[in-house]
Amino acid sequence: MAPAQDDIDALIADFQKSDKDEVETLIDDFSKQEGEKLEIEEKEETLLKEEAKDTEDEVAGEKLKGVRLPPQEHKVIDKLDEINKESEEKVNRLFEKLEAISAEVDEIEGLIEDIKPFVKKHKEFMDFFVEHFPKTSIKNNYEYFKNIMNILDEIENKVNSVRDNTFEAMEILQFQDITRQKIERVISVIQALRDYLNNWFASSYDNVPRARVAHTIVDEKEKEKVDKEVEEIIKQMQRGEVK
Amino acid sequence: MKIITIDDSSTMRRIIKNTLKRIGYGDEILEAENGKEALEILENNPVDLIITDWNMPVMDGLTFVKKIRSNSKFDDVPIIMVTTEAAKEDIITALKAGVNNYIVKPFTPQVLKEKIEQVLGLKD
Repeated sequence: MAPAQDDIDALIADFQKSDKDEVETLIDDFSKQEGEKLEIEEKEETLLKEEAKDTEDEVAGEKLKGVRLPPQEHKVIDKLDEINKESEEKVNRLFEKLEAISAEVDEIEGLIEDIKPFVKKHKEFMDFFVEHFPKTSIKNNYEYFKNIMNILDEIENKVNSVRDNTFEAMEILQFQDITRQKIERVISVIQALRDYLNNWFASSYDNVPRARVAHTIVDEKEKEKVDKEVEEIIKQMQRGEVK
Repeated sequence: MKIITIDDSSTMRRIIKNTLKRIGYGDEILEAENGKEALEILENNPVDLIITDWNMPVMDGLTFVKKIRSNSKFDDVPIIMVTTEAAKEDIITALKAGVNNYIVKPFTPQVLKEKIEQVLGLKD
């Protein structure tokens, strides 16, 4: 006998129910398994991340190997200031030596000036003798004396040459001031970077009062041209041509 | 002749001082490290000529020149600016502020002599 519709429906319902329970069980099992799987994956991921970090640190460490980070007291601006100060001190010492040479040269010149009138008088005296007593032995002495006079002139020339060279050396020392200002320009760039970074990280620091930084520093090759330009601008100003 | 030389570089002050002596203007030379110090010195020491740098800490040369030119006590004292600044606009700025002559560093004794003679009216 064929089952009645009700029996079929009941059978289907039973099946569906049992199927649903089975599916639910399957889902539970699956979730459990997936959860476990996820847990494992998370653990694996963490492990991998840790491993990767270790590798990164290793790479970074490798990269920093051989790089000597500056010590705390080795701050760039302070160091550049120190270099400027030291160079100025050394140049001043050099200047003192040049001034001492110059003073000694002045003394030598003074001594030459002191003996010149005597030498001149002596020459006049000898000229007179040689002219009036040409056959006396004084004529030989006169020749020696003329040599001494030539040597004296030579000393005077050398003294002047030493003085000129000393002054020229002093002039060259202007490079120290120009170099100092070039370093000041570098410092200003570093300071601007420091300002930027300090603002970025909301930090604060003390500012040392500094000179206005030179905008243009003339290259030695252009100096002559610039000097001419300065002259021209001054003349234009005087003529009222520059507004 | 009494001259004041203003520069924050002691080397430059020495060079200017020596050069002035060499070119015959070394009678009495006063020194100042910046514009502020120069103003203090000038209060009790009037001078015949001022030689000043531009870039100095505390008070720069341009501010100093403006202060000098606004003071009736010093407004006719000749001023020569000796600086590394070589841009045309800087030179014009300095001249407009009241500088009488302008020298770009490094300079030679001949140039300083000529500029002094020009500002003192001894030379065209």
